[in-house]
Order: sequence, then C-alpha cells, then structure tokens
Amino acid sequence: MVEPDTLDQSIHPEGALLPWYLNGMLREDERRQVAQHLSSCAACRVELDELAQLTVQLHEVYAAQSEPSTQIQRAVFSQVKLEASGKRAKSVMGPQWLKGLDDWCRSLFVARWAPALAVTLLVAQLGLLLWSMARPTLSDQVMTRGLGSPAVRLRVVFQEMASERQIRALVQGLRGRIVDGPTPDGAYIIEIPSGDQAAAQKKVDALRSQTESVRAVEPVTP
Amino acid sequence: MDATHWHDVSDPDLLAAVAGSDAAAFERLYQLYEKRVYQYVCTLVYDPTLAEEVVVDAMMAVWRGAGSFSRSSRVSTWIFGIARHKALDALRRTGRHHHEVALDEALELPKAQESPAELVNRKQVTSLTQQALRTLSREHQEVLRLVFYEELPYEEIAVLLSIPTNTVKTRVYYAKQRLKHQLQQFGQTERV
Repeated sequence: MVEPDTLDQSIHPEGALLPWYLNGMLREDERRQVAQHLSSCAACRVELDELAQLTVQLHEVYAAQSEPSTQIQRAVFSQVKLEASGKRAKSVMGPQWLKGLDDWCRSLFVARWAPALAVTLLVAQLGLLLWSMARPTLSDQVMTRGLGSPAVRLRVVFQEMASERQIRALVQGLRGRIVDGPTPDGAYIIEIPSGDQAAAQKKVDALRSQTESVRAVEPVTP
Repeated sequence: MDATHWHDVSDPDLLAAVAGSDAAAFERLYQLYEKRVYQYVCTLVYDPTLAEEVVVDAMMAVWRGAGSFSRSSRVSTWIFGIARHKALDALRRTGRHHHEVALDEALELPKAQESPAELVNRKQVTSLTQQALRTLSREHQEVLRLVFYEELPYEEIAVLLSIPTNTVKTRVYYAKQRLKHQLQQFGQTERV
C-alpha cells in the first residue's frame, strides 16, 4: 500500500481530525479548533455527516461478524486455572525441587547404612580435595576456552512485512538462533556467538543495516 | 471469587489483578476482549481457524505478561498490540503475509430478483458495506476498525501500528475515501 504521509493541500488539517472529533477522542484544544473550523466550513460539515453515517454502517457490519468458538475459551481458561494453581502451590510450598531434595535427605537417615555411607563419602571428598590441590593450575587454558565461545543476546524487532525466509536468512547469517519471542511488544530475542565486544557490536551494526527487514536492534543486558 | 465479582472494575485494575494471578479477574477480562480481539485478528489474517489460534496465544500472553503493562496506554491498545504481533508472527509462519482479497471475490452482489425497496434496507446496506470493506487493503480495514469501532485515539493507533501520527490521519482519510468509492461502485453496479 503506497499512500502519502501528508494530506492533499485541498484537505483542511481539521478535516483529518474529524473521525476522532466524532468519537470524542480529541484533546480539548483540538476539539475546540475543529468545532470552530466546522462553523465556517461547509465541506467539512458534509464530511462529518458522511463519517457519522459510515460509523453507523461499520458498527452494523462489525456487530454482525462471526464470533470465536466456545472451544477456545475452554482451552484458555483450563490452561489459566492450571497455571494459577501452580503459582499458588509454588508460593505456599516453595520450589518443588527443594521439597524433593528435603524428602530424599530425610529418607537417607531412616536407613541403617546411612552413617557408614556418610563416612565413606567424607573420605572420598577429602581424597578428591587433596588430589586437586596437588595438580598444577589450568586457569589460563580454562579462561581461553571460556572466552572462545561466549554468546550475546539481542532484542530484535523486525519490519512488519519481513517474511519468515528473510528473518531466517538474517539469523542464519549471524550463526544465531531465536531463543524467545515474539514478546508482547513484538520483539524476538536472538542469541548470537561473538568472540568479544567488538565482534558483537559488528553483528549488531550488520543487523541494523538491514533496514528492509529489521526495525530495531538492541543488546539484552543480563 | 468468580468473574462476576469483577464486573464493575476498570480495565487497568482488572489487569493488575491478573498480574497477581487472579484467574477470575482474567476470566472477566477475557469476556470483555475475546470477541473484539478475535474480530480484529480476523481483519489481519483472513482465516477464522488461524485467528482462533492467535487469540489463544494472545490471551495467554496477556495472562502471563499482565505484570508488564505500564499504564502508559489503554488496556485495549496493549491487548490489541499483543494480538497484532501474534497475528503477524502467525502470518509469517504460514507464509500468508501478502494475502489480498480480489475484487471479484468480494463482489458478491445481492440477488437480481430483490426489489429496489429491499436494496435500501439496513441489511442490504450492511451487506454492501461488508463487501466494500473486503476490497480494502488489510491496513485500511485495520485503521477503520480501530477508529470507528474500537474508538482509539490517533496517538494510540500510531503506537499500536508503529507509524507516525500523521500517517494514521492520512491512512484513515484515504481508507474512508476508498470505502466510499467502493460503496458508490457497488451501488452503480447494482443499478445497472
């Protein structure tokens, strides 16, 4: 759809506000300005009459439109009830895994062999500790490996008309993956591998340059 | 508490209760918005089955994300925004992003044996308006619904559609002109 962002010179600016004048959604200063204009402009008064008639017609059309099936209401409500009861249970009992761990620990002390097992584990732990202290440090190697494959998360809003193929090509081009979205405001969270901050910024810039498909990109702060 | 308890509560307060995991408040909010969201989504995806899937997704997102509502807009704008993003996502997934309604498809004129008197009755006008609407682009149908049915201020429509406020005004103006033109054409075709 190609249409100008500005109205034709022959159309009064107040004329463009008439739909909202009619539904009472203008600010008070705008409403007064339109009312004043209407008192001296016959063309806009005709336009207002047409809009009023159109409003009635459109309401008739929208009111006659089909409704969703009752099945979707049942599906949504049952899911919501399930999640609501889950949330309540969590808030009363704390995390489920904590309770499981607690039960398991308690069961250990019921068994007769528990003290012997505890001593064995303590000895094994002590041995492991002494062995690891005797070994040379590998921290440098670990650091190198750790920095070699970090990933950054980006919050990306695509253009409305961006197709799935375009989005897929962009994400694959960055060797990334979509990990979440769309969020309530239409953003996708994309995770991309990046060696360092400069490399990450380069990828952000590359994404931002794809203005045909990408509307906004911003790094997600952890 | 059941959904009736929430009957006289404002939308922002309902949403605040939903953020606190109140299922009854959500039921009330759902009852208020289900049909509106469904019909709005139908305007975007043209497919009732897909529209129902989008409504489920959108309303579950409302339930889970109610806490993120900032009160900077109307609740309706926020909910329609979520539904819109879900609908666009569904269109991408199904590859139906560029669906257009052909004029011939929309032009199902009233039967020839109907009298001129019947032509002007309300049902006929509604039917013609419906057909004329279907010839408009998705964007034009969308703004007409948001202005004339949902009665959203132009500033909120601009936020919802991510377009400048001036574009909202021009889009509504041209949508109305286009609809008027189509209605005139349909009227002339019928007279012939």
